[in-house]
Amino acid sequence: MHIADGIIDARIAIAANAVAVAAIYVSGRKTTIEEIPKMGITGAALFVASLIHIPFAGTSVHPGIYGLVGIILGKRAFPVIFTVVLFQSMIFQHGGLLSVGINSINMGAGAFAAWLIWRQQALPEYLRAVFAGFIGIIIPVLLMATEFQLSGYGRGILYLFSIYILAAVVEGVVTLSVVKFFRRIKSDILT
Amino acid sequence: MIKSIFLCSVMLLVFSANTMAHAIRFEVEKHYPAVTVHAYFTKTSPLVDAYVEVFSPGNEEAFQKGHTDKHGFFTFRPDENGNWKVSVDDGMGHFDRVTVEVSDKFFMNEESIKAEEPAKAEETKIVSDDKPEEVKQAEIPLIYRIIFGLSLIFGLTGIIYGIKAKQLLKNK
Repeated sequence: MHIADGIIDARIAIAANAVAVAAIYVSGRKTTIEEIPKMGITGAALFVASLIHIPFAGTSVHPGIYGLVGIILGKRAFPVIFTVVLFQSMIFQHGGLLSVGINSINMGAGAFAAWLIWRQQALPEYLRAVFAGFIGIIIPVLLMATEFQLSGYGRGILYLFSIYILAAVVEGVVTLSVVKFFRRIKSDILT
Repeated sequence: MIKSIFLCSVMLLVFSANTMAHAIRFEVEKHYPAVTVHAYFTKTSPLVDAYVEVFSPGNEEAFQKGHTDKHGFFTFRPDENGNWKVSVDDGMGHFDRVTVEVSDKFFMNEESIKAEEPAKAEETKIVSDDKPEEVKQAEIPLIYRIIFGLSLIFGLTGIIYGIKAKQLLKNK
């Protein structure tokens, strides 16, 4: 789910990096010392989770856990996602250095949307968890597919959507089980 | 609690050793009259049935379109020299392209074949010609790269924590 360098117009990629830096400032300011270890651990989990890939329909999908990151970190998710995407780009060549901004925005938007859903206290918790996990994947996929479409690449939004919808459902179920696990052992970790 | 976190971390690391990096890598083999591009994540994980577009030098309209075979190979026949661009898209957001330089030397083989001379084929194998550093990095075992990445994340967390703690102590 990482856009490589050269796909998106360089000017847009640079602008996205500037937006990402601004978003880091907005979402990361006034971070308390208590939040930092949680951000570090979640970042490490995200870093490793994105490396697992599951063969599917002749290609592969990989878990994103952006929904879970949104649930655990809330608005602090963006600086963590940016850092992880930057390290993945440097160490594994996932995406490219110039595309770190656009990739972070895509994934950060998923985490942010998941957090917004998670905050809807009126809904039952299990529903919020499943939907947050689902949307945490679907939003980045839709953004990425749109960017591919606008750049004239890829097989279209519908194709990507149809492939990832199953992964998003699985992600929703995984998110629910992790949320239930945290509720049992350390409830205050959830935002 | 600490035990379970430790166990989970170890399991993740062990499990991750079998996972693969997601950057697309290319091997390009030029042997008159064809150029073969091999697209893969790792040697054991080729890009199967990925959509391929070939662009001749200076053209934005595709010269050829198709799909990689089940081993991740795609072959085309260039008809002029210059920089040919080959883009590969697996439809899952994994997209990349490689530039294939087709020189006069490539077509010189045509003459030798026509003259029924023994083939002095220019058999060139280039690996991601525009990304040599990636290839070097690919040689580092995945587990080491994962540990390196995690060290960076934990190290950065520690540095930020230290700075925050210092600020707190100052304010007191």
